[in-house]
Amino acid sequence: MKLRRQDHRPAPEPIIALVDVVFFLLVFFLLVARLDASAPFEVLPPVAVSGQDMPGGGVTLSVAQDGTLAVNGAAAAADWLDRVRRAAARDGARLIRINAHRDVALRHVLPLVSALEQAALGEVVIVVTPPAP
Amino acid sequence: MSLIRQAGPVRRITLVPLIDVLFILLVYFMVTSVYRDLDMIPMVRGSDPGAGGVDGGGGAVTSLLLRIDATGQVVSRGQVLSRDALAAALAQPGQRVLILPTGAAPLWALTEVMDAVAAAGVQDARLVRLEAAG
Repeated sequence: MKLRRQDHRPAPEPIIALVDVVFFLLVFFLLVARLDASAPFEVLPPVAVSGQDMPGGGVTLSVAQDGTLAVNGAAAAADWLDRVRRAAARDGARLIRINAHRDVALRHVLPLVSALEQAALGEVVIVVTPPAP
Repeated sequence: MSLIRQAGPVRRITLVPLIDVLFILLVYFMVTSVYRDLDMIPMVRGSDPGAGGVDGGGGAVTSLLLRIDATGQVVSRGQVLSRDALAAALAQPGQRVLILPTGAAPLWALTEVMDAVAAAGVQDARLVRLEAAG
């Protein structure tokens, strides 16, 4: 009697589970990522306990440690208020976020608040970060 | 004579390009994401255009003036206040708190004072800014 060794072909690697995991990771990063325009310079917001949850949308006015300005990620100079006004009108935004570096002198920040208040573009908030747990 | 169409090989949709695209998207979001928890402190309410003004009315309300110097220290009535002393000064109910920072004071000092004001439950706190005359 002739015995034939059964043909054992290696089973193909199941990649469906891998695709599932990658999909979950992708959806996670899509959900948690804020697709805001980042500033062209480093901004470390001040730490505050009393901060409120920040809604999405709005116009972001970034202030670097040396007072350099950026509106929605684009560098700005003396024309910053016009840029903010145009961005707010384009997006229909009523929230202006001042994302200023924690060490910036207030002479660079408070005039911005006053000018935005006089321009009556909507609510003006300072971006802060809660203390590390 | 009968012609029999030859059955071609069954083409399967390969998943490899899909996985490639997913991986590229995944790496993109992992690299570009910034994991910073951001909150906000309101400075100007959109529905309250006169919120930033300080009236000069006297009345029976007592005021506590807090100055913030260039090093971030809080000074009241000529005394530098520690955190505990600031909390004690703010604990008096019903008073109006006026925050007067110098232009050289850092932003973190202002948010610290605003934190202390919020923690003390002060209802009437105003930020005062001196502007150059003329």
